[in-house]
Amino acid sequence: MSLLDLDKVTVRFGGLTAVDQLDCSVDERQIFSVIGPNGAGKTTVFNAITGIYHPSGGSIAFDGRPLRRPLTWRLIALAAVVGVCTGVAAGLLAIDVNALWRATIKRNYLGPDAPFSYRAAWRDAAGYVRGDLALAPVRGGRWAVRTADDRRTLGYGDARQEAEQLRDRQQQLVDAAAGAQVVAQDDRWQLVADDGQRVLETFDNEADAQATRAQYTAIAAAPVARRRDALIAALLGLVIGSAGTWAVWHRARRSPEVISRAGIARTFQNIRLFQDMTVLDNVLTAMDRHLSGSVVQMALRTPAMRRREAEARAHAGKLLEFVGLAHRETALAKNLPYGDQRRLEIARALATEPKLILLDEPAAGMNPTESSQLNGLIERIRQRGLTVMLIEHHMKVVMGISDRIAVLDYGVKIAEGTPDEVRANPAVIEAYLGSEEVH
Amino acid sequence: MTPTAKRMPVWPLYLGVLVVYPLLVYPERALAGLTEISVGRQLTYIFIYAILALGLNVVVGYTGLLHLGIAAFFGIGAYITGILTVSAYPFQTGFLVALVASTIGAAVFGMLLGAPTLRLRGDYVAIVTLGFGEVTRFTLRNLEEITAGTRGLNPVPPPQLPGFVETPLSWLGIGADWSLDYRLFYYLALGVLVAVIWLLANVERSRLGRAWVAIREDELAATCMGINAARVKLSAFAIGCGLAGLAGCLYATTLTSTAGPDAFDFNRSMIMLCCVILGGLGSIRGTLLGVFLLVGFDNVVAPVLDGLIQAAQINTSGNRFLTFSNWKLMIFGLALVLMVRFRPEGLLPSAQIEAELGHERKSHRPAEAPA
Amino acid sequence: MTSFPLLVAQAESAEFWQTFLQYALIGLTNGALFALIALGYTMVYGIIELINFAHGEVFMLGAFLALTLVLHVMKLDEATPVGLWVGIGLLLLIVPLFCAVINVSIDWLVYKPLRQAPKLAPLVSAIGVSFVLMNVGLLWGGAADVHFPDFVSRHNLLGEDAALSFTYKDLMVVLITVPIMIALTLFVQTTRMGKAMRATAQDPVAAQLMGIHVDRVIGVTFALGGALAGAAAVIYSLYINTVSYQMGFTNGLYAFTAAVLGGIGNIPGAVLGGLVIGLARSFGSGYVGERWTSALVFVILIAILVFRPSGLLGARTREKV
Repeated sequence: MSLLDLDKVTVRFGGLTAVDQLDCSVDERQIFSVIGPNGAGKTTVFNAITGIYHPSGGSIAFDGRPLRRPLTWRLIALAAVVGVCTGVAAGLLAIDVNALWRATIKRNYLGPDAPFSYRAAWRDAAGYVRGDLALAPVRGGRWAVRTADDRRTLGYGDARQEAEQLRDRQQQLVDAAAGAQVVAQDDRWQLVADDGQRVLETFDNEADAQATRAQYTAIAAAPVARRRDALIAALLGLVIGSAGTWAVWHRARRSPEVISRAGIARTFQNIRLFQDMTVLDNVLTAMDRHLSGSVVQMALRTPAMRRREAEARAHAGKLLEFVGLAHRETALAKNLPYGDQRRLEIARALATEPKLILLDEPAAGMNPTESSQLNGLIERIRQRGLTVMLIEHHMKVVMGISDRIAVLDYGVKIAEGTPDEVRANPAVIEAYLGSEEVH
Repeated sequence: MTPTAKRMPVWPLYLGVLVVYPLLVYPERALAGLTEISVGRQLTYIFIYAILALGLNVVVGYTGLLHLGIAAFFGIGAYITGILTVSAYPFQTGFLVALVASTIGAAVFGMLLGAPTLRLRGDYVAIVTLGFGEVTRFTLRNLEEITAGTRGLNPVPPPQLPGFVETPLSWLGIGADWSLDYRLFYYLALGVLVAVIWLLANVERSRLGRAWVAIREDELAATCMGINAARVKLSAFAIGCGLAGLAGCLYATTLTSTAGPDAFDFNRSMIMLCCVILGGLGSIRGTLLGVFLLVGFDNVVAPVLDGLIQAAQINTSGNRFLTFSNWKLMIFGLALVLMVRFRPEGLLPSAQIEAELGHERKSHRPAEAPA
Repeated sequence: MTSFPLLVAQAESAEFWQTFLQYALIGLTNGALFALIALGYTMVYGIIELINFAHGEVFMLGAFLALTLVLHVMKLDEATPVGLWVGIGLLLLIVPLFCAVINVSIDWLVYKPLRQAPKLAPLVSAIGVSFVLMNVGLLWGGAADVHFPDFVSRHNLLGEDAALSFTYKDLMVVLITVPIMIALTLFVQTTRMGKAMRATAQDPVAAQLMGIHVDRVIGVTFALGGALAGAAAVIYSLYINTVSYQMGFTNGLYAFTAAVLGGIGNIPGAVLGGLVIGLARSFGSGYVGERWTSALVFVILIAILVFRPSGLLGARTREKV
């Protein structure tokens, strides 16, 4: 059955079409080669498969499934959490976190001797949001009645009880001020609540009465405006936070590690080893996702961790032996000769335990002995149960081991078939004539 | 394996000297009467900055992300400690809780900062961290009800010593009063530093450490090998910034104040970056050396030189060209430029990079043998 | 934080629109200045993919040179209007030239040997250079803010009693920055050197193969960037009237943010980014509170990077494999 299916895959860079409507299907345990002159778009195909480029059109299926990070509940939960966090932060800033802190913490904490009640702090926090008048201790053991944001002092009381009474009276005024009316009564002016009965306050002249009404209306309006601003800010934060999380995730849906985890590994045309790491560490790095253990275990280097590391090293050693690099374990990758670097890349790719391995010109830069050994290596990779996809210019390698060959020219597949069929195809010969010789 | 590989490690010697120094030289006499600086006290700060620089080294050195705002996380740690411990607030959790909270708090901030930028081009990390550093400073100043604005929160109380620690200390001649005897802070900071080095050295040799370096070496290849680059970078950010928060907690406790927001400005971040680059990116030993040289220079040598200039009465008119502190930025800047140009691997490069250069220099220590 | 009023609720009142327009005017004028500095960042980044951290400091040194010239060499004062305008004209020639020379020398001395080095190396060097230059500024002008003579009138062009204010100072900023930006665009779009610059930005190796003298192109880019910073320094000094050795850092940070916002490497993007930053700052200080403006700008930067990673006008880039 087919392992990898490309369906009308197209990759465009700006106006340039690098790969055009490529259909291609690779069967399990096949060695499938992609050949073609330089600039035919072979590496671009590999890059599209491994998630480095996003195809402009068409689809790529591996094992019958599209290669994409699945949408999980974890992401939805994460977006929700991030959204709520940004929303709360924005809301707190908009409602004035300084004043909130003053209302909840500073007002309730009177020194190391007085007990601090978290319940009172919560109550005051809610009171601040509602805009309740508050009591604040002032010098001389007196208490001040203040607006929730501490901007205005409405009166003082010598004892707490007295201050509380004052606060309650003022609170009534604040609550009723907006609907209150100024009514003339026996040379004096009264502020009457909107039920027309309750007299809130009596004044000697109308101007004072009106001014007081305006003042208390303003005091009542301030927290409403603040709540509204905070709500808008919180909603904005919620939307931006969760949408941002989703946007970041969405962009990384087809990132290379998703493809690698699905079981596709690759090597690179221009070798991309971890140059300053040792040969062994290069292979171990590729085994990353098969090694378990938390940061804490790693930091403490627990016995279980050491055991797993030792097993991983042993396994990596076997892989290096498999490609013939067992003796170079401690060398730095950049100090290896070219051919060894290519084989190290293969070992590194194998360490991810793939089902499909993509080899991008593995024989480039190898001498004839090495490249004939490479044939054997690729054959042995297939014997491990892997499927191999190969880009190669050395026709000896390609024709010797491939089960099927696809020929690309200017991004278009011009032929596909067994080595013999391809060799006999006139279109292939034409594409190669003058541009590259067929060995 | 060359024979030199079996050479005795030298670090126990350094550690021994540092442990014994305050026992032998106490109380210290001022350096030639020039300044009030106490070397032991300054060493305490050097230990704290070493933790900060090791945190930065995780992000810049191992993972190769240019983090230009590490001081912000240092400040976040200091302020979390301040809020949790000062007597002006009801929390007064004590030192250990504050230590854990500062570390975790700074790590969370680091992750929040890192998350939106990690899938972007590498240089953007530089600008975002730089901007975050500035914004943190302004925010600390603006939240004046909580942070006390430019004055900073103080006094941050010293840690409480359990009785079974006090007695042996008094035998060693170390008093139990933190404000009188700097050596308590000295040993606290040294102990935390040694623990941090040990933990980091372990992580360096583990899966995560390899993934960090792989991201630095070639991010694309690393992701093609199944490494989740975003998650690995995020872990580097969390650990690096968490260590900065830890250092911030120690700083606030040692200073008995959070200092003002301006203590955590761009210059502090840059000095830390200079330390890491001077010593050698990705090298624990190098980072320690870098901190010792640069912070030592900044905190000890520069004031002494200024004291000398003043004592010699060279600069009676207050000419700014003749004040040594006015040349500090120049010296740090030149150090960066010259290091990058002529010795990019740093003074004490990490074992791997050193091994690679080994064929050029005879007296090298080869790569650490895999355990 | 003062509470920010609901814009919709107040939209009916004429007063609201007046203040709104006023903030927009201030924002655009300041934004034009940021754009001028941002262009220097974006051009250098476009060509050699380096965040030239020292750029802000070049701007700062330009301001100090302008101050020294005004106070000690030209000895300008408002009493002689003709001499004053000639003097300012001279400033606009000398200071950009000086900044261009500094910028090119930095490139030759510091960045050029590091062209093949890993990406972190020139970036770190740039930070080092910025430190050195900042120290030069500190020694030149001292640690405190210095007053720059207030030559240009604050007289309102729209009439003394007009509700909106657009002063001679604002006009000066527009009259100098807009032609410079147009000239730069024309230069890059039409001249041979401009084409070479765009080609080098696309692919330096290919450009070299096509016979373009890449080193010269880089030199010209640094010179142009420096000259723009110099012009910005003169305008800034005349407009803000305060010069300090730290002004390079703060304004450089805003300008670089503008470059990233617009899409780094993209010249119209830098101008757009500068205007966005200018507007964000002015509306932020008007409606959110002066001291939260830098945080607001930063939040906008993060939001744009999350939703449009290559900036407002930037094109998505692909890594070569």
